[in-house]
Amino acid sequence: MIISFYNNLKMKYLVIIGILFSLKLNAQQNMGGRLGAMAETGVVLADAWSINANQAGMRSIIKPVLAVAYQRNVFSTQIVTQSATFQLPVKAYTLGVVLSNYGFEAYKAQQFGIALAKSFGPTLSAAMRFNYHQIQIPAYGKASTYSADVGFLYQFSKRIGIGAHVQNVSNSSFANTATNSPMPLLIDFGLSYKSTDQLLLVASLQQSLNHIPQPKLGIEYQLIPALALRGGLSFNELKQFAGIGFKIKKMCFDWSISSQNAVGAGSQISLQYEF
Amino acid sequence: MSFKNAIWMFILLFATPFTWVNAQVDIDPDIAQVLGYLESSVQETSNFDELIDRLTQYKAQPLNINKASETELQELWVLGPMQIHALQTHITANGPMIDLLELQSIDYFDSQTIRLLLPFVQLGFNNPFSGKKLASFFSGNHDLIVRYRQDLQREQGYLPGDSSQNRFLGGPQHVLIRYRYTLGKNLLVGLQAEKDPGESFFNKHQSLGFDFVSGHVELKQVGPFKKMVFGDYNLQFGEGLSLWSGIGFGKSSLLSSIAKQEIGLRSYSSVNEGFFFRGLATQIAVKGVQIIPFYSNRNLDASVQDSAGISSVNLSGLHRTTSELAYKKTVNQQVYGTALTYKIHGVSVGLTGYHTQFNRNFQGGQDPYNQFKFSGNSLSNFSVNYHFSVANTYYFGEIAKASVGKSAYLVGLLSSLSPTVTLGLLYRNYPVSYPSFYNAAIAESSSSSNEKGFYSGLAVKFHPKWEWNFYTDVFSFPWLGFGVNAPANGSEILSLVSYKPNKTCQLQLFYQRTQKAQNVLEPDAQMAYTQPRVQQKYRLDFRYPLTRNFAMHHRVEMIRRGQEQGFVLLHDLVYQPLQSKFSGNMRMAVFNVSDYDARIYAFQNDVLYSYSIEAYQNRGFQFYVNTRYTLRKGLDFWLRYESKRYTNLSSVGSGLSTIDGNHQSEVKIQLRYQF
Repeated sequence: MIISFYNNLKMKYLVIIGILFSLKLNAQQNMGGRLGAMAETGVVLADAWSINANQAGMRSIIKPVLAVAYQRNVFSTQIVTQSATFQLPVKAYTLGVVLSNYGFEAYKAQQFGIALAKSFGPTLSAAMRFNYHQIQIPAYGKASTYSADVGFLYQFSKRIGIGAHVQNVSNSSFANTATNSPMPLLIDFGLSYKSTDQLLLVASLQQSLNHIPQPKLGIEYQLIPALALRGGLSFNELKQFAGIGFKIKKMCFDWSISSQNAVGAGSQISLQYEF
Repeated sequence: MSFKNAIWMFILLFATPFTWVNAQVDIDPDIAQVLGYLESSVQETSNFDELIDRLTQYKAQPLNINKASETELQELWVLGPMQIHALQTHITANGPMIDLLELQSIDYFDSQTIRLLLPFVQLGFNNPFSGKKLASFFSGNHDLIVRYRQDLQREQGYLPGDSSQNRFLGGPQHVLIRYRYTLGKNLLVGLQAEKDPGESFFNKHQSLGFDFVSGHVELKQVGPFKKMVFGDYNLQFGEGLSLWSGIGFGKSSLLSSIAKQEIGLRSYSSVNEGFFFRGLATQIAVKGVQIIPFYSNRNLDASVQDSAGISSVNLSGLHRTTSELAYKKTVNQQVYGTALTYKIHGVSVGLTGYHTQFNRNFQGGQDPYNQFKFSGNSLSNFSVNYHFSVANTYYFGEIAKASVGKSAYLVGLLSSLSPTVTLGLLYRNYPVSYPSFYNAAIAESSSSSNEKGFYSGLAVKFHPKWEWNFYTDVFSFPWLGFGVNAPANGSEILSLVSYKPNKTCQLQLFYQRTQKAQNVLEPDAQMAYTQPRVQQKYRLDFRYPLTRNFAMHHRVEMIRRGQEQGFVLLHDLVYQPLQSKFSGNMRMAVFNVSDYDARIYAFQNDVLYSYSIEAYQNRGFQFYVNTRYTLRKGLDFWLRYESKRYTNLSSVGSGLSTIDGNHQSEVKIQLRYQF
């Protein structure tokens, strides 16, 4: 089911700040320290940050969970992404809310999302999410719009999982505002391969309507139950990722770092508490 | 490679009229299989003699796997350090293997590795001559190879010219003699001599006959001396950052090759005239410590200006003209030093120290890019290397420093994350001011200098028939380079998918993308600036048996590099009956390469010990046939003919090597006598 929402707010004095708009929309949401260390291959991964990557993954949540994340996208800039999410599993459903804040003093983007995931048997889950977006450029004003995402996860076999996700399936944009800025429609498809209980490999392909496809690879190695080592690569342009995750009782702490030749390095941390 | 291209390849294949020649293979397919992994890293300068030599020896006289030392296992190149460690642990724990099938039960030994390994190992006993110290000289094995090659077209340099013109002083023949004598495992004597085309042969310029002569006498297991070499030898230590002469493969599609497999001291059996040592070296083992002291004294070819000193060293070994002869042996080089290796509880630590002394000064670099080039007449190098295994991970590294400049280092690991997945990581930092004359550490550029980089690779065996090798390497060159006017960075991605439905059939898909900076000079610009240049390489390779005695090999490869493109389609037909005096192979290749930068490399079959690399350029058609005939046991005869016809050239080559016309062909004859 595709639901479109039409933006009915207009802005008069908004200017495109090139570098910010050129960053893809998903860069404006936290993927958390785990997905962020695995090259953001979240389309086929499951954890609390599935709410931003592929909401169908929220079905892996078995207890209520609260998570926060903080990201310095590129160290050489002031750009920061912050998110908080709460998710509640109820029978075959998981309900989640998420609040994200992206940008710096002169440019801010907020997003509020509400997501619902449902299991259809032990191997299939599907989810939807509705979003309210807002851009603020203090010198000029504000613009806002709505969008929707859909996602699926299918456990093909004991070792192999498949995931698909469409972000901004409504193809919304800020087009009718003075910013005239697009909001990309992103299609992700991914495969996961659980080589052993300790080792997970993931590959995904991300396609936006006007860009070349971006292949990604991620790897997670559970050294001991409390410690995981992660890495990833995304291509076009080549970007390297690495990270580490700790789990102590009900707390998870995940940290990631990314580096790209032309852009530089960035980092992300996330904390998760399971009730 | 897309499916469409694959279909296209097959259409072309069957449209090509085949001439069914009773031709032969002569490079061993088992060795070809190993070399296949190196193909991604092939360059014109690559020298595989030594590896082929080793593998050929082990094929003829397989290694006793129960008694093989770590070095011997390393020499095979097909085993990674983790596999060697696991194998030795298995033998120590369970006693000698009684069946090679046991390999399947050892950690990290997958079917592909076992298949690569089996031709070179056995469970059998040691050589019967081993230990017979008084065995007579004549009870050993003699192995003599005589090779002759000649181009059928005359190059410019052989044509008469006036006295002002430089001309080749000798004839167009290439002559090589290689003799080897082995007495059990205790004595090895080798001699090789070569005359390159254009070089004088038994005349006033070369009264000794051959332009290059190399030899060695190697004694093994004499008292505390594990090995003694008089004559020419190679030295390879640690990760190749400080001292590594002879072959040292870089990044390849075989993940484990990022950890170098040092073989220490080895006598020299190649006719490559560049890097080797000449003098005396020995290997002593005392209580877990291995000591290799060495001394070398050689004359090198260099262009020398009396006042300023040495401007460059010439490693080609070509002495065809009076000007090339003028460079011959103009500089004396002495190298001496020691390498120590200490092994305890699976941890190996190595120390290498050596000094290089020249009788003349080197000029420093004249241009901005090479201003950190070595100058002076002496250099000392020192390095520490280590490797050890903990749980499922093998760690290795080396740090090196010379008497001038900054220190260079590399650290890496190979980790078997699951029975089917291996991860390799390597970080390297080689400052531009780090000098070493003998280095071969993992690098993007040809020497271990002016480079930082991070390599990450994965080898995944999803299924016994499917294998995926993959790596990315992100690197930067902090200082300028040749043809690169600014500090630059770049990256490389390589992916190789292999499908082996059975023992003799193999399908491979290869993709490589390299991005590096290159100078761009705009018209009317004062100075070139740098721009990233992307090169993409695609290859589909298919080998399969046609009948019991015939096998086929097809390949289509494409390169895209900016506006330049290269394309090669080749077919090999291999005839290799189990019991026959004949064997051989032939190749037909079509190539279309728009520019030198888009040239395509491929291994090609040659006479034994001569496994050549073709760099396809221009447009044309190549054909060769390679045959072997066994006259009687121990006496083999090879004949090879190769022809290349270019459709876009009216002359081939450049300078003195120019041939009039578009046809280039050569004949090669080889005789091997083992007695």
